[in-house]
Parts: sequence; C-alpha cells; structure tokens
Amino acid sequence: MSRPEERLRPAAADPLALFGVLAGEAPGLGTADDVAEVRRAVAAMRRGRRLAGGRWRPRFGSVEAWRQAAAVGVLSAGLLSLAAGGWQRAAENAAVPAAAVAPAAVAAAPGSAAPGGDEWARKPVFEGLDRPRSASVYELAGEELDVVMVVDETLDV
Amino acid sequence: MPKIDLAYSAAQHRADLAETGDREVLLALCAGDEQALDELIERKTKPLLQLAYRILGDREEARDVVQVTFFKIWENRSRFDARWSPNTWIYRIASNVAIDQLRARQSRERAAEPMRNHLRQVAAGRRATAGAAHDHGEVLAVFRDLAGELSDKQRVIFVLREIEGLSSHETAQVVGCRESTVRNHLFNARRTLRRELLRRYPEYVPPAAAAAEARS
Repeated sequence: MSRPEERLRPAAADPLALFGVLAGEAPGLGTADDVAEVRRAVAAMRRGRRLAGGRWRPRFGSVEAWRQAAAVGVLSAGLLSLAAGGWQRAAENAAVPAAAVAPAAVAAAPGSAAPGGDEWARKPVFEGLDRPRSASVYELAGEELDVVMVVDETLDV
Repeated sequence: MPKIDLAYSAAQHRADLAETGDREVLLALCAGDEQALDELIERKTKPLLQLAYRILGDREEARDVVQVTFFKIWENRSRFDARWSPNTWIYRIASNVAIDQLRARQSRERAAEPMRNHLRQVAAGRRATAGAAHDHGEVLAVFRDLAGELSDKQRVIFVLREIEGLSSHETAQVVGCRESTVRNHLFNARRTLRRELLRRYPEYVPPAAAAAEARS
C-alpha cells in the first residue's frame, strides 16, 4: 500500500499526467552515430587521462573535452619528438635559410642580426619571456617549419 | 599465424561479450577489459541518453553527460560492488554527472521568458486542432522550465520515479538516500510542478485536471 502522498490521482485529473509523454523515447537519441561519438569521446578522455598522469579531468562540453584532449595530445607529441631527437635536429638544421623563419619572430628578436644573417641560422632564439614558473617552452625543429610551444599549466586549456 | 589467431580471438571475445548479461560485461570491464567497455557503450548509450535528456532537457548536454558517465565508469571500475545491480550503479553515476551539469548550468541559464511565450503560442495553436497530443520535445521544454523550481535532487528523483518508472527502493539506491527521503522529495516535487504548471502553462493542463484543481 503506497503512502497517501505517493498515490497518483486518476490520470485525467492530474495535471502532471502531461509528463507521461516523456516516458516515451525521444526521437533521434541513441543512434549508431551517437554510440560512435561516445566511443570516440571516451577514448579521447582516457588518452588524455593517461598522458596527463591522472591530473586531467574531463569537463563539460564536447568541444571543451576534445580541446583538452587535443592539447594534451599536442604536448605529448611534442615531447615524443623531443625524445626522438628534435633538439639534435635543431642543431643539425643550422643551415636552414632565414627565410624559413617567421618574419614576425625575426622582427621581435631583440638584438639579433637582421633576417638572413648567420646569427639566425646558427641556433634557435629564445626570447626572455616574463613567464610564470609553471610555463615551459618547447621548440620542435622540423624540415620546413619550426614550432615553438609555450605550455603554461595555469592556463588550464 | 599468430596475428590471425589474435584477430580471431578478439572478434570471438567481442561476440562472446555481446551474448552475456550486463553483470558479466560490467565484471569484465572491472577486470580492465576494454572490449567490455565498448560493449557497455553499445548497450547503454541509448538508455543513458534518454535519461540524461529527461533530466536536462538538452540533447547536447545529455550527450556530454553520457560521455563523461562512461569515462567515470571506466575510471571507477575498481569500485563496482558485485552486489549492486549494474543498472543501479550506472544510473547512479549518470545521475550524479547530470546533477553536476545542472549546477554548472545554473550560472549560465538564459532567461526563460522567451521560451515560455513560444510554448504558450504553440499550445494555443494546438488547442485549435482538437485532440492533438503534445509533442515530446514540447513537453520536455515545459518540464525543463518548471523543473527550474525544483532542487537538483527533487528533479532527478521525479524523473527516475515518474518517468523512468524506477521503484522508490531503486531510486533511493541510485540517488544514495533513504526511501523516506525519496518519498519526501517526490511529494514536494509533484506539488511544486503541479502549482507551477497551472500558473505558468494553463494551456497544457487537460480540462478535467484544471476543473479538479479548481474544485480542490
């Protein structure tokens, strides 16, 4: 026997009977595409968790979750490249023409030689950034493109 | 041919999992079996999406909740107690994630008045077509608006009891409280929803119910 407050009035007399419609399935939810998307997202979150060593937590919003996973992925790819000899390649690529260096970066380098000078080709330039302690700077020297990453964990992307 | 053997055994394992019950799949998942996670996603995505959508009233948020739910199931697999019903454990995680989402939403909730006006117009138009049933999405939008008056727990309990059809005992297990607490929350949720429905959306109240309310 249910308690008095639990007893539903006859459906026709209960305004809340309106919500009985919600017991039916919402159309278009739970399709094969949804299942595939959930699989992808969960795999990305698990990857992010592994790479971040347990510090990473998923947050709401698919875009947010994917962005977090992507950020961790880029960082890990960078670190793997470094481990595979990225720094050595930077030194070996000393002969990379200065034209390959982004003009904005060239202009921003204080006290450096003019674009095209030997100074640029010899070694990577690190600006004296006023950065917090939590930030790290990585440079990936590629064949045609140098990538510099400034990773600041306080940004929490 | 070790590679072929490996491929065959993986496919066979997947097929075996598809044949087993939820409990066995969950136990395999708890042992770290990634294919069991895949199988669980295959089985539970749809019901969890429906549950999350009923609680939140938003498809994209429901999708986010389900994704995070499966991630949490995997991360917390060592905490599963085999004495629990698999559905209860999974629903519990999903409900908690949905409540987190509701709390995160509160700070960015947009004004509901434009939506309310739109729904009134839709209902008025429908009234002209005698006997037409209300659309699922339309009723869910009304529920979402009215449920803003409920606490997060009242909202989840109302959905689990009244819409998902769980018993008080099951609901208490999912929400993590006593059955008497479930009954109290449900009573208050019903009272609030009834009052607000009559006040804000009288167009949606069946004439017999409106008359009964007027008499009481």
